[in-house]
Amino acid sequence: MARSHRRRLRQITQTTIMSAEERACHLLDERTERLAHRSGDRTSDAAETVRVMICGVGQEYYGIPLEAIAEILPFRTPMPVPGGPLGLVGVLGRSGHLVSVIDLGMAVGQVPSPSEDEHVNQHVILLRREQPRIALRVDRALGVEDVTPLTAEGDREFRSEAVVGYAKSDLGFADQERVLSLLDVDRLLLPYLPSSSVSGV
Amino acid sequence: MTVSIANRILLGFAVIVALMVGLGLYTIGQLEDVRQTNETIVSRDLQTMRQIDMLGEQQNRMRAVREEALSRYLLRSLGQQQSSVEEPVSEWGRLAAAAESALAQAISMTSGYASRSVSSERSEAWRRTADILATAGGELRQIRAATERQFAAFQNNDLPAVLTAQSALNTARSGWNKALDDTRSLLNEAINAGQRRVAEVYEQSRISILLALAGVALLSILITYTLRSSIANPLSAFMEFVERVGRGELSGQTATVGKDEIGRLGGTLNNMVDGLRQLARQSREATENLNAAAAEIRASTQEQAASVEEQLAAVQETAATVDEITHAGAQIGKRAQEVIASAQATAQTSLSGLQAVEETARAMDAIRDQAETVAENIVALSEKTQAVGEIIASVNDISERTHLLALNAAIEAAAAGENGRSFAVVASEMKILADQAKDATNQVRSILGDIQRGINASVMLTEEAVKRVAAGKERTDTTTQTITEISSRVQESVQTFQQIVASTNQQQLGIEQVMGALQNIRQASQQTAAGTRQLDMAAANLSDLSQQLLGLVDRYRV
Repeated sequence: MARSHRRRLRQITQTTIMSAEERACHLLDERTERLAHRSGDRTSDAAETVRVMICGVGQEYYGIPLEAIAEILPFRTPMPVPGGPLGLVGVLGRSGHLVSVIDLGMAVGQVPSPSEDEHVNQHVILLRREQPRIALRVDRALGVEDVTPLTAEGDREFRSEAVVGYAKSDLGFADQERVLSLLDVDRLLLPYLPSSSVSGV
Repeated sequence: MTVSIANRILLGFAVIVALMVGLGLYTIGQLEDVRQTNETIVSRDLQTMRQIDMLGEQQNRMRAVREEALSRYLLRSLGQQQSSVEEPVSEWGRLAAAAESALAQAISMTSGYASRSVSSERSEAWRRTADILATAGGELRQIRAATERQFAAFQNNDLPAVLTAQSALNTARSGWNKALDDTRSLLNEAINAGQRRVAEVYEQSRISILLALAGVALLSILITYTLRSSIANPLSAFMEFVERVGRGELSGQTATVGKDEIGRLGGTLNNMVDGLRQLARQSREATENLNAAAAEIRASTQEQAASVEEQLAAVQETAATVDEITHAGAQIGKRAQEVIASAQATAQTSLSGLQAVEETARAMDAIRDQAETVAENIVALSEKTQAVGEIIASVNDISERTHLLALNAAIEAAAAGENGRSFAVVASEMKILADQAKDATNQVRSILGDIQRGINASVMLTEEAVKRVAAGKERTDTTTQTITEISSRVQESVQTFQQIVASTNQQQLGIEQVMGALQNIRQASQQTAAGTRQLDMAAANLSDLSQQLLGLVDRYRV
């Protein structure tokens, strides 16, 4: 009895060691394959694509234009601001400037999911703009991708004013495609900015 | 009207006696009447006859005196005699007066008799007698007158006158005698008539007495019959009633009651019938109870007979059982000897078992030591696993940072435009690597969790094994004590079995006595069975008797 246990234990240790080596090989193979596949896609329809940052809030996925983003930061708990509008989480200090942190889900009118994990892996997207400096809190910044909008702008009414279209993305942990909402940052920030400074610069 | 029977009988007898007395008195009266009549007739006849005889005699004396006077006269006239004539004359006168008075008396007597006669015939006779006597009186007066004339002739010494007077006297005297003879013949007729009258009166009295006797007898018979019926009718009713009671009909109408003896007898009979009825009822109830009791006695005697037979069978079974017990006791003795031998062998075996158990206890201790060592090794493995987990956490942190770095690099590459295009590729690869590292760390973390849980389970199992080994040690100790106790008990058992052998021998003796007692019990049971059969027969007879008694009692209809 004890001898059979011992033999089995030895076999297990051997397989784990071998699988680690195999796994490295496997990863390298996968990456090579993906790189080879990607080059073909890009050349086919480069003219209509938009490069966006895909981020997830709750169950939804949003695409923010990459031009509007300055930096992505790990989440730090902001200083709460009393009397702020709905969605304003607080302010952060960033290299000598105050940055207002806005919750993206609240800004687009999404109902906040109750099971909001502690802000362990949350990210803050610092927008590329001055006066005021604004950052969006998202659950996770998933990655950068070139997407093709599915509908023409302005013809249809969307769930929120900030949503300007939809696109499909094949980025994700699962193999299935996701539909993400393309956001216009200026429209998104419109309720939070004073009327004089709507110029957008 | 209720008159008691005694009074009724008394009254009847009194009436009869009164009738008898009346009859006697009547008879005596009749006899007196006859006697009086007879006496009257006889006395009258005799008196009349005597009167007539006296008249005849006075006449004769008068004649004698007159003839003396005549003779004296004649003698004196002849002168031979000197006696006086006057003395007889005076005597004759006195006699004549007496004769006349006597005749008058006789006439008055006969005429009185005629008026007070017992029969018309005699009255006629008396009246004719009086007439004849009156005629005789006339004759007497003629005789007196003639005599006086004769006497006067004496005085005158007239002899012819004397002689004529004498002849007149003779005719008168013959008339007188004829009258007297007629009287006598009449008297004889009267006597005959009186005798006939007496016979007649006697006949009348006899007939009347006979009639009265017949009436009295009839009355007595009537009274007696009435008396008899007044007693016999209620008595016959009572007889019927009593016969009915005798037949057993106690119900129905009761006897008539009253104040007389019959009525009291009726009341007494009613009381008697009431008593009989109660007696019959009680006796019926008692008989029914007796019947039920007899049936119960019979049932119980039959049960007793059955139980006695069962008892007999049980006694025989018991005897057989005791016989078997005797054999079994002998076998017990043998087996006990065998058991003693095997128990001694068991004691030796238990000693070797004790040694084996002690060896087992030592082996248990070794197992416990090894298990504790295994537990320590596992704990060390667990600590190392924890270190691996910390390493994985740091790798995860690194991959997260690499992810952010890749994203920022992509942003910067986009900001750099066409110049940053190759840089964007690098950034993208970096991000993929970071994501793969994160996936790998997640997998390793989950595997580590499994390992940790397995280690915890192994630790717990090892501790359990240690505890079980400790329990096994305790049980081994207990087994040691138990085997020690077993060997001591076996020793005790050996002694006990030796005692058992001795007791079994005593038991054999006792069982032989029990066999004797069972023989006695069987004989007694057989006697009891015989007695129970007799008792059963007696109960059956009693039941039959009670049935007959019930039939007898059923005769009484209450």
